[in-house]
Parts: sequence; structure tokens; C-alpha cells
Amino acid sequence: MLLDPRSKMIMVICISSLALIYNTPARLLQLLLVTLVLLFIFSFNLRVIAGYLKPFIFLMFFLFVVQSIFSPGDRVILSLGPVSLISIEGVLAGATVVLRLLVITAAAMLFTTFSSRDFILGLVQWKVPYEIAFMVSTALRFLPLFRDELKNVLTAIQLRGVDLKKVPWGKKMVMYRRLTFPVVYRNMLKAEQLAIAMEARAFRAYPQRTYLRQLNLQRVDYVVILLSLLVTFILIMRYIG
Amino acid sequence: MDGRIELIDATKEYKHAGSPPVSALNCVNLSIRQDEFVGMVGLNASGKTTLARLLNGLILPSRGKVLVNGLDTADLAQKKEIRRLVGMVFQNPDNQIINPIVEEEVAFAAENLNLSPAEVRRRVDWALEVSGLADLRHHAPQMLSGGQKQRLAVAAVLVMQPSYLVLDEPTSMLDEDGRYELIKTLQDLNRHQRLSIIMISHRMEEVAPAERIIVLHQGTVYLDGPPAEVFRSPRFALAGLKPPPIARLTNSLLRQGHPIDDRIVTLEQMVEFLCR
Repeated sequence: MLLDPRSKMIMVICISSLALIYNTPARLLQLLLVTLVLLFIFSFNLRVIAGYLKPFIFLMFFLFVVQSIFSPGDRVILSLGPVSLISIEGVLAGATVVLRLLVITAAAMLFTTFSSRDFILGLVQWKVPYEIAFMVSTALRFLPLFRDELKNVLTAIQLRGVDLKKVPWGKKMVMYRRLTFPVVYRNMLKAEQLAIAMEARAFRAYPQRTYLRQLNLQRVDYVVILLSLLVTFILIMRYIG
Repeated sequence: MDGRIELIDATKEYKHAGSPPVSALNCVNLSIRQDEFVGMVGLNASGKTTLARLLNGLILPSRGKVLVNGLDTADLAQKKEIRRLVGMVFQNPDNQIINPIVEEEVAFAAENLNLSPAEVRRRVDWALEVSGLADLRHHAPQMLSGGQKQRLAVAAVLVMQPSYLVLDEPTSMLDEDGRYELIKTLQDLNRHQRLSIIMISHRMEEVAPAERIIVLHQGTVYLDGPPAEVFRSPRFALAGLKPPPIARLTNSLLRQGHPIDDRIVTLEQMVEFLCR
């Protein structure tokens, strides 16, 4: 389906808003299923979706455990003597947080169906200043670079004889803290080089700039946008009411 | 307006807290004509990159002046025009590429100049053509080879229709084929588009085709002249540099009394001479 990037942005905003408002696992699970159906419509398959969500598994597990333990509740499942560790309310709270994260992360996959350039064009045509749209897009572009730099640095450490699997957790945390500086520094160097290249190409030299392409909303885009906003509004009203 | 870049007693010092200032360039006097092909060489920390960045006003001299076609780089009002006149291409093409499609990458600078869409389109088509990338216009830059990426970086600057193109070690991350493609493109741009090329390189065989070589040593201009003269000068070795293999062969043959053209410094020139 060839939708304008702005239609997809609206869909992501609507789904994310519902994810923030819904506070029960049942609702969030329904929302997740709807999101997955949307992703299938946009030709994502289960393997791709799973691959995209895989890096978040540890974070989700961690959040689930923390929420389950630290959320208070009357229906205790696990206790240590007089101390209640996990309750049903805690487990539900944990599930809520995890499902919320899953929904927002899955919805964000829609951003991968259009280029960063279309993202900028879409925001600019929505009257967002070009510099801000460009900044947001470039910041998003640097996220995978951080990951790649971290991989390079970890590889360099392993080549010097450090077996990461045998390093205890405490020492691993200290090691990661120390690695933050070289990773951030190298990315800042890349950012500086990019900034110099942009300046050399007259970035912000003039208050206005031309755009080679323009995005045009089609009828189907208007339908999708209106439907997304209307459905989101109705669902929020029903949930609150 | 004079069609040249001039450095007049240009000095650049870098100040660090708690230490005396470090002089990267010291009283450099240089004049580069429009449509010249200049190779700039020197050891690490000789001041090449600093000098390159002075040429289009990315940095300003601590003392002295840099004039581009008569415009002072220290004059803020002239900054836009100077940046348009002097294009720059850096070492790592991946750190210069901003857009996800070749055509859009090339269009970026033209769009920033607030030209009409028709003019942007015309310049993009021209830049892609002269860089040999017209067939790749709808490709993603990350799918290009190293040489193609660097040619893309060149095309992305060409849309500004500069008079001078400064390239700071543009081939250092390229393989043999990539280097050859890029140098050939630059030679064609110099010959057919009358674009002045100022190329910094560590590889002498890459600057050998230039009409002029400038050797920087410890922040000063140490040698300046046609390649054959520079490579044959005893000061060239004192600057810690070695001539390219063909130039060494020519010098060796000359020393042994063989009747060879002393201007031969490239493989193509040697082949042409031998085939006569």
C-alpha cells in the first residue's frame, strides 16, 4: 500500500497514544494484535517483526520482573516469610508495561517503510521548521551507528583476549561504563564530520530552501488519516467514559 | 574578480589550555589559479588538512588572509559565496552522505541554495552525468562501491557549480579500482569543466598527473612546482617523501644517461613515450 509518510506517522501517533492511555493487559493485547495486522498489511512478516523486537527481549523481561516485584497487590503468589514478593496485581502491572513497550515498538516499525528524506519532507509540509525535522531524522540515523560502534569496540576488546562470556556481571557493568566514552567520542567525531560536510554544502546558508520532490496526499491518505483519528478518539472516549 | 585563491602570510595556530599554541601553518603564501590541477602532499601533521580547510573558510587564519576570487574568507558577508565557489570533499564518503537515494544526495546542496526546482533538476542531472553516476541515480548510496561513493560526494558538491574543488585524502579508503575511477573523474572535470582541483594525498602516484605539486613540511610551503621538478628536487627527500615509482624510474634512467623525457612521472606518460 503506497501511503504518504504522513498517514503512517498519524497511525503511529494514534497507536502510541492508545498504548499510553490503556492500562490493562487485555486492552493492550488487543491493540498489539491490531498493530500486528497493520504490519502484515504493510508486508512485514512474522520473522521480520520478531527480528526487530528481539533486541528488546532482555529489557522487557527486566521490566516485567521489576514491575511484578515492586508493584503492590493483595493477591500474593509468592512470598518470603511475611514479605510478599509477587502478587497477581504485580504480574498484571508487569504485563501491562511489557505489552505497552511491544505495541509502541511494533508501531514504530512503520517508520521503516519510508525514507528519512520523506520523513523530513512530511514534517516540513506540516510546517515543522526544516532544521528541526532534519535534526530529528539525523538523530534517528545515529542510533544504529551507536550500536555499530559499540560492536566494534567490544570486538576490539575481545581481540585483546577478553572473553566477554566469562566476565562477571559486576565487572561487565564497569567495563560498559568505561566503553561509553570511546563510543560516544567516536560518534561525536562522525557527527562533526557530517556537520562540516553539511556546512560545506550550504546547509542553512539561506533562510528558505527548495525541495526537489513534494509529497502529495491522495484520497486514500485522507481516508486513513481521518479513520485513524476518529477511531482513536472514539476508543479513548469509551475507555475514559 | 581575480580567478584565484590566495593565501597571504596565512598562519594558523591551535590554542590548548595550559600549553603554548601549536602552529599548524606558518606564514604561508600561495596562489592557486582557477582551472589548475594541484596536488598537495606532505607528511602527517605537515598542515595539509588545515590548509584545505582555510581555502573555503571552514576555519579562519590566526594571522594573514585567505582570498577566494578577491573575497576575504574572514568577511562573514562573503561566506555563502565563498562556500559556493570552493567545494570540499573529505576522506570518508560515509560520513558525508546524508540522504537515502543518490539523486537526493546530489540535490541536497542545490536545494540549500534556494534555486528553482527546474534549476535544481538541471544541475542534478548535469552533476550525475559528469560524475558518471547517471545510471545509479535511484540507488541507495550504501549499495555503491567506495569509488562510486566518493564520486557521489564529488557530484553532491558539483551542483553548487564551484570554481574550485578541494579534496582531502579522498582516496585513502578506496581500493585500486575506486582510486582509479575517482582520479579519472577529477581529471575529466579539470580538463572539460575547467574546474580547479586541489587534491591532498599521501600517494604520490595519485598527484603525479597534476600540473603542480605543493609540498608542505612543518606548516610551510617547502616545494612548489611541476611534478617532475618537485620529485627530482633533493628537498623532496628531505621532506620525508618518496617520488612515485615511474618518477623514480625516469630519474634513474636520466642519471644513467638514457635519452628519456625528464617530465615523465606517470605510467601513461611512460607508455606513450615508449610507444613513440
